[in-house]
Amino acid sequence: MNILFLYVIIPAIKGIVILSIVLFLVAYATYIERRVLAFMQARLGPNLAGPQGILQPIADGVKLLAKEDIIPSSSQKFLHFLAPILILVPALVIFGLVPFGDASNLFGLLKNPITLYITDVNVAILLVVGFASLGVYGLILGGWSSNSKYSFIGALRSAAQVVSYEVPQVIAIASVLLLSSSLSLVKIVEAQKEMGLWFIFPGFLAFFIYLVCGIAETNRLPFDLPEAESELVAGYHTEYSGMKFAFFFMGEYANMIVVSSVATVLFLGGWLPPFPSLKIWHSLPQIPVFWFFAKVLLFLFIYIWLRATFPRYRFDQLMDLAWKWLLPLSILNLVLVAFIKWGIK
Amino acid sequence: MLDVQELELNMGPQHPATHGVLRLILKVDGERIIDAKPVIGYLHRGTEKLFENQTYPMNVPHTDRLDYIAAATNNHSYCGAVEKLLGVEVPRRAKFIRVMLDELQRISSHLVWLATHALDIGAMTPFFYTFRERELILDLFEEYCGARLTLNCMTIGGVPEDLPEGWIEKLKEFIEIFEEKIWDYENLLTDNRIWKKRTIGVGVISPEDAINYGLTGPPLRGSGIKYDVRRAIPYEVYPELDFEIPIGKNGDTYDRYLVRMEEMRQSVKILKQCIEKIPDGEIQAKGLKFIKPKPAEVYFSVEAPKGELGFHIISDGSPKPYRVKVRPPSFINLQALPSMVKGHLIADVVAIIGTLDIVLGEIDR
Amino acid sequence: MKLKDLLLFDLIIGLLTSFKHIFRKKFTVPYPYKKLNPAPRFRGFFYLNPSTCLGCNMCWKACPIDIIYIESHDEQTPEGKRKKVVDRFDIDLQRCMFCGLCEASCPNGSFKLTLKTGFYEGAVYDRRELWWDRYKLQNYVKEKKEKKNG
Repeated sequence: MNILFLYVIIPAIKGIVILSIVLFLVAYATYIERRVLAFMQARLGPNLAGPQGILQPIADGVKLLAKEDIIPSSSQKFLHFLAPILILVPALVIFGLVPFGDASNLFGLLKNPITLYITDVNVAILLVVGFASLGVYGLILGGWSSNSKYSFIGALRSAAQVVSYEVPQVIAIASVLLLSSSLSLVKIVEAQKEMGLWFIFPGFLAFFIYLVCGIAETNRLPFDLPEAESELVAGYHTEYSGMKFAFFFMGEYANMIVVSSVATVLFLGGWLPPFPSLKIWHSLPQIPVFWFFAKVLLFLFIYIWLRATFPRYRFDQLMDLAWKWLLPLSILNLVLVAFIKWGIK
Repeated sequence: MLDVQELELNMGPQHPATHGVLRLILKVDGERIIDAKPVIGYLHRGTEKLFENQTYPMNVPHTDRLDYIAAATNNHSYCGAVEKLLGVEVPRRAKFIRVMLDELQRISSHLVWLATHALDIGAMTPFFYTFRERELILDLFEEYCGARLTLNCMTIGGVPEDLPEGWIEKLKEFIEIFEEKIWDYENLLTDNRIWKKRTIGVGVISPEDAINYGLTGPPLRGSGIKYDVRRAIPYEVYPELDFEIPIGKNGDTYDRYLVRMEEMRQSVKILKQCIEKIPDGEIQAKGLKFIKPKPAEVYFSVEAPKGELGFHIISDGSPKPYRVKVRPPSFINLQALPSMVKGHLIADVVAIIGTLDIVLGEIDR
Repeated sequence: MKLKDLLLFDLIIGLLTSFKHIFRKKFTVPYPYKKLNPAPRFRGFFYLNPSTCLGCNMCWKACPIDIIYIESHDEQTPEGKRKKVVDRFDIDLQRCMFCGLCEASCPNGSFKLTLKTGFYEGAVYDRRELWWDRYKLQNYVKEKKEKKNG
């Protein structure tokens, strides 16, 4: 009975809670983006559906559910159906690995403390990177199954972009792993707690490389040529309508939140307050997951800020940036961090 | 064995970035462009034939619809041509008002150009900032002549109405606001490394080619040739005003961008001088109740924001013109597109169309 | 490679520009909850009192699109002078381009055909409502404004 309780029921409850929070956040990321983007452009965003427009994502969801699902007659039905799923589901799976907080009592509701993550896999980073790469299949299948010249070009560009930016990203992550000497996400956060500093301070270059690669992975401005509105209409998701189109968009925002979450765990200390060894943090009330969500929201704001400001790179300049600049820079960073670690010892 | 096939891509008449109904047939090898052929005529309305069926004053509202973004210069060019045909001298105050409207229209048209060009290359926010300033200009136009876009603000022999009270104060306020806000656009774009990478070396046209194709306006001045109708064939009060003509060095997209930004600043300088120097007086020449010119042929051109806009009018002694031919700057600038686009990638075609600043209303008439 | 390029100064200035706009006043007007008033010279919909019209047909001749239709007959006034009385004064608003040439050519002084009513919200569901006869020329704008205020 104890085993059933501990190993089946509690993780199931945690999974449902985390999944619903994440889907809620994905839907409201669209609202946050439209509002913040509008404020930066001297206009108001959606503010009519509900007070200050809070119910806008629900209105969008209802509208998209009621729309007709148009499938081009010359496309392959099974692949057309599979592509949006392959983009959204790997992103949601990663949230099973990301730690939101440490052991907590949930304000004294429970007798024994529970940990605020589903499980602590000891090769978590490897699984995260692996699942993130599965998203490429969705892009390629989406472009291929639409059977249209423009979508196909968009899908090819997108696949090439995602694959080439994964290499500097993984090398930047490797330099963080040198500092923490463990692949488990929970242990990385605990290593930051021991060091008394977030990993962004020694590893600033790694943080910068990871952020740039993360933006390129999720096809956001300034790297969003595959879905550039002014050239290929909408790239690989031109031929989708209704809920499948919604899935593509939710997949993009879910990927954004995944990149933000992994960046907070690796570089900004997960659920730790800044300079975690200071004593003043013990006198303040300990709200679990507050710091984690604050940092994720900060990253979302940075994403939107970059979208509002910069033009987009041309495709060959994009690939230039990845292979000629970011890759050597990340290898240089790895060597530097190795020297620092050897120096500390 | 393995043949490399050329793909023929149709950037069709309905497209978010072709500034109207322009159709481009691109021959593409992978991503490099081998040839581009513009197909026009989707907006043809028979304007030149329409001019022959109506009398001279009735044609003025129709000229608004040629280059619908800069309507005042169209009116100016047509009215100037008919005045040259009749040999009529416009009063001095009317000349100053015409120059002020022209320069305001130049700023407004360049703001629209900046908005759409930046949007095509991916920067969304300059669009909203420029349209915020353009609203102030359109409000000024509304106070003066009653309409915002299709102005009908000039008549043969002068201007229809005098400036309302408080217009010059509002113009001074606008100039103050604009001189500050133009730094917003410069900060976002001019030194930005992504912008520079997208525009330097893209769409180069050499000075000899520019003269051979007959380009005018910023595409010509971006290649280094200092030709501006306001200095070459002066009209109205331009000989008395002090302004510079900006030119570029390399003839690429970045130089044309800098030329247009500097032109906006020079227009503000001209406006300031006009506000000081404007005299009192009449606004309409006398004796033009019934217009019936002698049989003659005349050509008159002004410096529109897009280039040299000219009207060639042939009259045969009746109240209606015999033939009116428009020299549209965008039509002639578009001819340089195939040679500018060769060898570039598909992503650059959009940037090059944006930098030529074409308006399909002028091209198709 | 200057130091400014390495530290991405140009990108940072752009970021600061778009950041400071979050705190500035927004420029959009939430129509239809708030409306802007047009200028006094705004060329809106027509107003004419047909009983004061001279019947000179100048507006008909000046219109570039020929959308004004006037029919009149002659009458004797009590003083013995000849006066034109307008039977029919129709304007086809579907094709009007609001250029103002008819208003500019009307010689009637303060009773002239005028476009400066400041009224622009004239969208209708039925196209036939855009053929304006004498009654509408005189009363349409007034009635719509009263309905809005009252």
